[in-house]
Amino acid sequence: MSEKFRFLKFLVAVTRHMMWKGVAFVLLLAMSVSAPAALAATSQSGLSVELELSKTQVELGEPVALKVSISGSSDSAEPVVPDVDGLQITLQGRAQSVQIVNMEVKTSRIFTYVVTARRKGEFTIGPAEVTRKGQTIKSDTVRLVVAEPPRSQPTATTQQGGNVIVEASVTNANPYVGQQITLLFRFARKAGASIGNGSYELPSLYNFWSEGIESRREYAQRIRDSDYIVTEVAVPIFPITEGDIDIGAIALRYDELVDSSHSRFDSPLLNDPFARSFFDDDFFKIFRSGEVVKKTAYTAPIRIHVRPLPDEKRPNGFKGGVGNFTMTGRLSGNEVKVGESVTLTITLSGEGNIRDMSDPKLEVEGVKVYSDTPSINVKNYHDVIVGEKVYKLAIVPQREGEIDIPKISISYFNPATGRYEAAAAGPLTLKALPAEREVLTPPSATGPERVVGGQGRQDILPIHERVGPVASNRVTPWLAAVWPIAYSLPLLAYALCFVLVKRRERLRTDTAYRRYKFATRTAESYIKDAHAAMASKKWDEVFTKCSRAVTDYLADKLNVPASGLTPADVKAELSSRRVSEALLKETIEFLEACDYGRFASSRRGPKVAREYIERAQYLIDRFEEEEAIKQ
Amino acid sequence: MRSFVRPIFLFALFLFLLTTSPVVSTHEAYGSPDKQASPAVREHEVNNVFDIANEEYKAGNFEDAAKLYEGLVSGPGLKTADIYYNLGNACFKLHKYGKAIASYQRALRLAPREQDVLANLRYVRSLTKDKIDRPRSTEMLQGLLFFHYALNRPESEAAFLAAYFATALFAIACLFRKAKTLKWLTIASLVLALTFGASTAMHAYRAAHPVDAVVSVEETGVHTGPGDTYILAFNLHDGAEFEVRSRVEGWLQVELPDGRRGWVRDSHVEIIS
Repeated sequence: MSEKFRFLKFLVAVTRHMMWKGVAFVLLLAMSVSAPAALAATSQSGLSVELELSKTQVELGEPVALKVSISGSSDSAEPVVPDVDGLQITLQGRAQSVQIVNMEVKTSRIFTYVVTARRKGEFTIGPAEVTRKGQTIKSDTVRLVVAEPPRSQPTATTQQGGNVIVEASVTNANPYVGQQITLLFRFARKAGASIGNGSYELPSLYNFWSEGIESRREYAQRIRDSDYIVTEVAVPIFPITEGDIDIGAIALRYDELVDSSHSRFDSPLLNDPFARSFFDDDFFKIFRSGEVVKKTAYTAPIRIHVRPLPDEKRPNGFKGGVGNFTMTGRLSGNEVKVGESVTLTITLSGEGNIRDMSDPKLEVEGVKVYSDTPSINVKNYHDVIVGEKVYKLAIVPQREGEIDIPKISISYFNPATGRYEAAAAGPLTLKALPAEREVLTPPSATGPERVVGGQGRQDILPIHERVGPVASNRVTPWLAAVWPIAYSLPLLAYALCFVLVKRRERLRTDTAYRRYKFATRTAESYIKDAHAAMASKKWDEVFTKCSRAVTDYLADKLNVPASGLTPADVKAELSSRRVSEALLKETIEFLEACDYGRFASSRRGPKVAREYIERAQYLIDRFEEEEAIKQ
Repeated sequence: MRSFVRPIFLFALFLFLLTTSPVVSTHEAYGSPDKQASPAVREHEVNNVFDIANEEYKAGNFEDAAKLYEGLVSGPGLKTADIYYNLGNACFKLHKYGKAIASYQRALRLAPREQDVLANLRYVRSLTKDKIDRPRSTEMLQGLLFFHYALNRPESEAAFLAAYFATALFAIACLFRKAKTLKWLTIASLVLALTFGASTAMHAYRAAHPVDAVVSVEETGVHTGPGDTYILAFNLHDGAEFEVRSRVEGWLQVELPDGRRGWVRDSHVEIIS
């Protein structure tokens, strides 16, 4: 049974496979027959027209873009999009696209229209028609569904549970073309309501131009006996088309915590609708008993009527500036030499569409004027667009004398007065001085180029015939030769002299230092005297000089009075300075032996005298190495 | 005595430290003698090529003359103000105002008081399209620091060394003899040494980090950022001068004498090194 079933299943699969193959075969056959015909038709016309809507479902008043793409020709006429009752279709712009694919040039033109619905319902747009060389090509059609937008303002309040009120308005519902108005979007949220993650979405402002500088403020207000926190967003916009313009609904999207115990989350963070709430963190979600509900509130659309600028008394050269402007002019200097430049800075400032203001025109006889791209600075000042446009003109006089720069004015339309006015600067006066006469060096070359400078000068001075050497080449080798010693020698010399002077100064003023430094020299002097005494066989004087050599040496080194210094004093001084015991003992023995030698005749003789002189010298050498008596 | 000696010693030490960097850089710039070619041979070759270039120039072959002059200054030979001056003239004849200005500026770095160079530079500047205001403070500063602008780097360094030696001599004399005249001479020469030392250091720094630049193409756009996608603020034309502030790959941030800033393509600019 099961085998039969399996077989049947196999048969069904094979049959189905064959059926699909058959269908595919039939389709392929149909395509092979129809494709050449279609291709032939296309190649005959060379054109294809397509319609495309950016959105197929919109709310009333919300504009939608309609694109008409014409492929295959760049010289066709503009497409004709038939009027549709209930829709306003306005051409917004055109663009051309050229592509080279596999060495084949493909050209297409795209026409963009703005479609705005005047009533709700379903509409069919098209077909659009394009005519080329007597042939008319039609596009397909597209469908647009227009729905009623959700009511905002008071009714939105009830829809959102009474915690949120949204509304939109404009500061002037009857402006002129180019006059700045402000789209105000306010939403109020009840104090204590748990609302977060708020974001608003402005409608497409196709008929307006905006600097993109919004301002936002927040304040508290009491509405229907409840406290609300109101956030107001002001968007300065400039209408660019005349007639009735609908500004679509502004959508406010936010999260609301629907919870009876929402007071727990009543924090400033939660109250800021544009901030991500601290309590939105997943960690805190586990503690919440309520539910976060995503909600959207819409304002009602606004209709404004844009008036055209009056034709009456429209000045020549008016380019569309609307607002209230002033202008100042300033020269960078009142005097300039012929051929040199001075900058005329013209500053245009005020409220309005300063970008649309025409550029100043300046023509002065005998003066060349070079203009530069103006710099523009625009900012939002209390919901009013104010700006500054700075023109810099280089003025180069071509003749001497007083040059009068006439008044420079730029026309604009002032919506406050309803008249065309002019912002003006000047007139200004410039004194053109004679051109500077060049001071030339003695002729280094001759030739037709050398024409003495000034106004008559027509060309540069001629080339130099000799390559040099110039001054730098003479100095460079000299510097290269002396530089190793040049930098170090003065400093070293000064340092050496400085040390010498310092030492001399100290020797002069510091007695202890001087005695210390000259102690060895004094001792050597006594040793020398001792040698002399030995040579003249004055033995007692040998002992005296040897004793003085050691005692005076120690007195100088230790800065103590030398006269009357007994061995006991020497012992006491050396002991206080912690001189080694052996040296101390040896010194005292030597001094006592000297005293003894002076009076004992048995110790007289050249051998003993030489021994004592050597001992004195030895002791002095030992003390020279003794750290305890060093300063 | 002691109170006067100590500041002098410290000043001398400061002077030594101050001049250390110019010394090194200057010495490197001069090059050691054995690394340079024989000056006689080199000068001989330079003279020959220079004469040929001059002949080409007089014959109206400015393109060829400019190439020869450029060859001279691009090689290891002598870079003299005269070669740069003639190169500037050739560029001017070819209506390359930016390159002419750059050549004259280089000539002035070697011979800052050369009147022919100054005259031609002024003339070429008067023909450039962009007339850019220089603030009066800049002119005043240039007047105040006239010694810096009137001397080239070796001259400035020579003046520094002379003042440095004088400072040392007077300071040594002060050590041995107390005299007010000597003291004031020491201070005066020290001020001079510091002034010329700073000038030398500035020359060396500017040589190592060149910032002066000039537009070398007919027209270039100055954008608000380093790329063509940034807004075009204004245009500059051949010969417009400015200073380079920073570099990003392929782009230079420049500042004009009137304070305007922007970014230009580095290939449109010649930096005066």
